[in-house]
Amino acid sequence: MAEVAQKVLTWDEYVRGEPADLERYEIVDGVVIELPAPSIGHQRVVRRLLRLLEDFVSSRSLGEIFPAPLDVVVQRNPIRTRQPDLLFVRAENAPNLDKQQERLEFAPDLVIEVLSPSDSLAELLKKLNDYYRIGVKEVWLVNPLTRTVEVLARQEDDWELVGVFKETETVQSRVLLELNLPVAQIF
Amino acid sequence: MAEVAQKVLTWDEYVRGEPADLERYEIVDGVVIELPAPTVKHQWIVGNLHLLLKQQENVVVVLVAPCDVVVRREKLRTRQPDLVLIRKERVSDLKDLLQQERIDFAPDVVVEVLSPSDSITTLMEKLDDYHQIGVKEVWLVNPATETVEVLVWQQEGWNSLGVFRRDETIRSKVLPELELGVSQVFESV
Repeated sequence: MAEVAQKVLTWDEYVRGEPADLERYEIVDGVVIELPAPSIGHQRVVRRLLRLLEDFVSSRSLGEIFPAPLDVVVQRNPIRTRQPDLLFVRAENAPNLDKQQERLEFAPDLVIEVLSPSDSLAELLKKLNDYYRIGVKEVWLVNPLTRTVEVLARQEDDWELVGVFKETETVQSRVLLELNLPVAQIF
Repeated sequence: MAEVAQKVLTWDEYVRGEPADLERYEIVDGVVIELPAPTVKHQWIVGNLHLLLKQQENVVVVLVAPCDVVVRREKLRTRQPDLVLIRKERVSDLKDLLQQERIDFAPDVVVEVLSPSDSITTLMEKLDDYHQIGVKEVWLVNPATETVEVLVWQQEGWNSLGVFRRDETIRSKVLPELELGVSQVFESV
């Protein structure tokens, strides 16, 4: 991650279209952080997940899956936004998602992050904190290097580990209960 | 990690020698959790770090796992970091330190060598614990990516001082005088 500028962005500037020339970025307390271009391996995993989850979710009319880049607003002041690799919004939580809407200002039910070897664990922990604070119910950490999917579920005071699922196992989700997704299909 | 028994251990039982038949374990809210045997590569890297840090004994006292670090006595919690670093000047009496059966104070730096089977959730809990007792810096050594990330506590959370790669040296805030190249840590790996 590279800091694009030390300028501190406000909510108003952001809503008016800043940062204008970037697509893949997060804003952490007003500071715009450009996200590095993902690798082929990363994008391959994202594509498979998108296809598998989209099939599952739309065939049952459970809600909607969105791939990055889509801003999720954590807080307005100081402004903080995140761009998860994939997110899922349950149908009843978003009865009419406006096509024109430029960002998500409520918590997705599920957030999926595909990890990169260059990721900082400290940054990942901050993201998890942010997702917890806004009310995300479940996070998947998909690790192409170890070929595992770690599922974290929201508990009263912190994230709880549902499991670290390996290539021989299926992902167990509490948000997508009937999902039967073998980890091997993701990698 | 496997839970050895659902029995909840108290501080008194622990001080009297429980869990008696285990060496590699952590105790989380009284529940003894046996740690899986580390891989050869993991131990090789721990060995490299131990050796390298031993050479800088004028700066730092280094202890290697399994050494219990007490997080709290009520709802007993202990951790076993791969390496524990204490600034030399804090150790007024090395002989006394060597008599201890456990570390009942905050080390200056804690080093964890990660395994592919580690869960991020567990790592988060450990980092919380280390902060609770006052650890100022944590190194996360990742054999899969051959990087060392240095975390320092700032205001309300752990912040990254950097993810250092093979061609870099580890920058430590707590031990700034250390000279340690990442390639040395992963020597022969």
